[in-house]
Amino acid sequence: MLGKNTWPARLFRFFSGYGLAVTCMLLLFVLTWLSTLEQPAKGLYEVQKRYYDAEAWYVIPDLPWLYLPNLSWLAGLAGKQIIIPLPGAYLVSAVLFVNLCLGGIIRIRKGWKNIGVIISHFSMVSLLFAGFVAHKYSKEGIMYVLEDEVSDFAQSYYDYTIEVCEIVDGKKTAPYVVPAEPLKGLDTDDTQLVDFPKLPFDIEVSSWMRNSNVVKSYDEEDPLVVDGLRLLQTENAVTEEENAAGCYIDILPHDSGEGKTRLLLYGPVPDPVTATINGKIYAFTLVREIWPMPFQVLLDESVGEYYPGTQKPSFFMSKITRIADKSEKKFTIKMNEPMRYDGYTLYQARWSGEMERAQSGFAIVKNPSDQWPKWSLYVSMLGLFIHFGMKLGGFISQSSRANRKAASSSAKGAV
Amino acid sequence: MLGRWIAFCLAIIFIGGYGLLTIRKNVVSDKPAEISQYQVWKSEVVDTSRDMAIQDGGRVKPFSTWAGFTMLQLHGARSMRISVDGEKEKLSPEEVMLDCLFRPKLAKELPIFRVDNSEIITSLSMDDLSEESLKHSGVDEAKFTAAIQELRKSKDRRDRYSYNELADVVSVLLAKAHQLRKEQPEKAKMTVDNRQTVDLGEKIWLFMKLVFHMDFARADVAIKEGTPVINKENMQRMSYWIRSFPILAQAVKEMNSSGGAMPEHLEELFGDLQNRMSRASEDIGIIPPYDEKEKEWTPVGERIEEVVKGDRTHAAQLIADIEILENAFLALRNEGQIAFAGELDIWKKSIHERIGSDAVNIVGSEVGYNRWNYFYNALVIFIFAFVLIMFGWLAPRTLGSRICNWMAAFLAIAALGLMIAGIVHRCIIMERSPIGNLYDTIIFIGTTAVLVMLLVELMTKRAVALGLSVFMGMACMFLARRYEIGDAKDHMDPLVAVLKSNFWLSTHVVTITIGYMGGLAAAGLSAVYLFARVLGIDEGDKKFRRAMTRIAYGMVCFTLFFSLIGTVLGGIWANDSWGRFWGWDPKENGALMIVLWCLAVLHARLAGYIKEWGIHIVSVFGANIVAFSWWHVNSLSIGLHSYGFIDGLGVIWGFYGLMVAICLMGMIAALITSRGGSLRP
Repeated sequence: MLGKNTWPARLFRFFSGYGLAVTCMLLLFVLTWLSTLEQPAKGLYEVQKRYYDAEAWYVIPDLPWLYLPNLSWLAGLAGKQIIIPLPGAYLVSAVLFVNLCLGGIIRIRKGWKNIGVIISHFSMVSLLFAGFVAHKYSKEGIMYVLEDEVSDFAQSYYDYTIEVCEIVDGKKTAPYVVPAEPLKGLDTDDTQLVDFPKLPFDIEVSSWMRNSNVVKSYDEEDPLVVDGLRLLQTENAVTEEENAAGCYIDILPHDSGEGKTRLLLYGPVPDPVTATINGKIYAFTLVREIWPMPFQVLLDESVGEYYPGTQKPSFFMSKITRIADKSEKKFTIKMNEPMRYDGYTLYQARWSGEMERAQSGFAIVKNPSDQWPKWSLYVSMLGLFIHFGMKLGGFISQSSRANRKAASSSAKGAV
Repeated sequence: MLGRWIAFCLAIIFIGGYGLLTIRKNVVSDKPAEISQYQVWKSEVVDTSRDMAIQDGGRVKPFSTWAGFTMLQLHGARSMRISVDGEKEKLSPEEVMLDCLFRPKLAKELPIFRVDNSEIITSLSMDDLSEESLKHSGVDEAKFTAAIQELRKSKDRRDRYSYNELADVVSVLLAKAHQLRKEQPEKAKMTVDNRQTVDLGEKIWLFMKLVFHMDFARADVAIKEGTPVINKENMQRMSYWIRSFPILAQAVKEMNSSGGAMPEHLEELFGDLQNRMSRASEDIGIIPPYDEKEKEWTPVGERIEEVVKGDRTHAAQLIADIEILENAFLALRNEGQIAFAGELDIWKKSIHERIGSDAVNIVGSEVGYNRWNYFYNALVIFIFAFVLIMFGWLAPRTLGSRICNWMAAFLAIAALGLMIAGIVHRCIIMERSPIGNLYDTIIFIGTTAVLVMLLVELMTKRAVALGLSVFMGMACMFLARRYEIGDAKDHMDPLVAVLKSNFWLSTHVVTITIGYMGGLAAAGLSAVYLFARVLGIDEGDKKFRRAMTRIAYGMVCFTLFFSLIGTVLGGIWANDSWGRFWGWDPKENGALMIVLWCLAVLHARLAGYIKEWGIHIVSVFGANIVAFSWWHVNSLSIGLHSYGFIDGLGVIWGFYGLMVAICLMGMIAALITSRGGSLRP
């Protein structure tokens, strides 16, 4: 056994102590509060990135009341932001997880009196772990299918990729994809070189704009004007899905004889931009990341209803045929009734009846810890029920004893 | 005793002050408007109209419900006070809506529009309008200026206006409201003045829709000179022209093919009919569908248009319906109100036959719900109970105090019975679990708070929980009433698709709402403790202090239990509906904050960081977190749970301030006692 005052013992006490637990809870409380207040101005996506991402080790809250007022006596400080650095929520959650394991499960006094608490702590550990797994390994996208059509892919809500493919006989060949990850982190001033060893060229991505517009420009001197068009950066939308990314790519042929060609790619335009390199035609598209599914979805029927005389949706439902491994199975997906298959879950997320044929939008999620919160809930309910039940029982019996005592003493007094 | 008197006075000042402030804010004019030619509706007419079915907000509901909420939108109150030849009259919502539909001339005289800031009218100027708006408004500048001058002289800052009083400024007002809407579509981002202007514009628009809607049935189609008259009385009915439309259309066609110009009287007639048709096309559902498959009560104007366009599938039924309504108008005009009530009854029976007995029963049940007015009656009972509690409080441990407490307990149980009955009745009408919107949460929290506090009282028998149950019941019922009036939307309207799950509504929503109640009850108990100690009301009774601390601690545990379970259940529901357990939605965050706060409090207590004073201070602060989660996040206008209300944030800030003040008071007191000081001089 370790001595009481050895470093490992002190560390253990620190990491398993109430002090750390309370600090973590209060920090998470403050972070949750601040991030909620920031949402209307910055949007959920941005706030999530700043407060809750694994990469966000610390966060500096940015709210209107954290800026000094423009008062003359504040001189140079007027209008300056008050900097309050706080640890990121992911980091705090990780510390709390360790604290829960060490303090709430290992160090806690074992016995019948604490059985409910231990069970609850165990459920919270599993809930935090489920959150970690979901954060790390889950993936989500959306699949739009028109009635009587088949789809076998979903698209990311936010992330863009660049697809490059050769056009042969007017048809696209298998694409080479620049993944979303390196593009996501780009700023307007950054450039990103992408090698294509199997193609006769590489590309360099520049002037990445998370939200942009395409405008006409006749300034021939401007290097950002391509075929009379130019990208114009606009303020990011509060809803990330509404952002229209755009960028420029410079095609750098491996054969140094040819000069570089600049293309303008714009997310909302689905048609590819083409360029001829070494006599071959290549198509380039900036597209939301495509996520192939291991099965196909045939939308047999798509039904959407609104309450009479209103625009309030009352019922969305899709009858589908799931085609996988040469087998077909029929399903009905409704709000609150998703289809689960092979680790994927399909939810009825959107519906549109404005086109000639109805269209369903299925949110697709792959989350290894999909059902863990449910099991954690059952366990925590059991734990809390046992613990608080025992406490309540004790309180009631004590109160009734006290009431009886008071009644008998007042009776004696009366006698 | 001094402490008790101080507490008594503080309670009176606080509750009375808030009550007076509310009255001051809501009493618009002390003198009812004189409408000399007004004829009060006879009870036969009002009774007949009350349970007449209409479709509105996506459901079939009684005329009385629709009238009530329409009045709240227009008038800011369900009833209206007027003076008829010096006699004061209180008009019910049904009466005012009957005026709008059947006596539009009188309706235009009623002081129906509530305006809180008259400057939005008196500051109107022709310069406010863009050239385009000015062109379309067709305003007579002289008349407009004179009207503004007159309103400046005759109206208070907060006042009620009739349509006729505003008639000469309506065009400019509507054009300005339209312009403001175009510039900023989101009301939440508008300045207060602009929002009030847009709101008034919407009210006027709604009123105009109401008064013009029934033009199709007024049986007063103008028959101009030159029109061959067969039966003038018949020809004044729109139903006549709908029936004869094929012949009429054929005649016009022949006239056109022969190259002849349309006679002026015919052109005017067609114009008049066209106007009546388009005015009836506004979305007010009064005629049930003719086809079993249809769910929407298509507006009459659209039905007429179908027939005019050549689809005569339901022409006979439509004509029959219009004729009944025309008969009603003729009866009112020629024979009086009793005859009108008879015709209205024929109309009601005709629609009720078509919608089936189930729908009729629900409509009838809702009329009963409106009549019972459960929550208002509960509020009245709570006020009496609260007065009794206050008197009992002044003379503790006396026979009088015991009698007061017993009577208050009896009244609280009676009010609780009413609230439970009201909630059950709502569930039956809505065919869903008790909570689906913000209004539902208020009455549910009120009911569970009274129930739980009465149970605590049963266990503790100290009259503290009894007093708190009465106070919370009263506060929640008052809040429910204020919210209903301010929101002016029917809170029994159906839920959006994703919320239509009785399982999740009964589990997640109910548990999380009970969690809110727990947090507020814990704060209430702790506030009582803090005041009792600071004012010396507890007389140094350590048993009382210990008991109060245990109860407050127990309530924090209770809050944690329900908030945690409710939050995780919400996550599971979200996972089943939207594919993600947690989405950092403001409402989810609010619930998480309650859980984290409770956990921090319980762990700090276990570790000995907070003791008796501490637990009560943090428990009072917990009320702010509940208020943030329950109310404040809704005003952020983001997320899936956003109810988007804009007004009323001042009350939330007032509540925050009050709770912080109580916490500060507790902290100062704790600091004094920890240094061995005394709280009494």
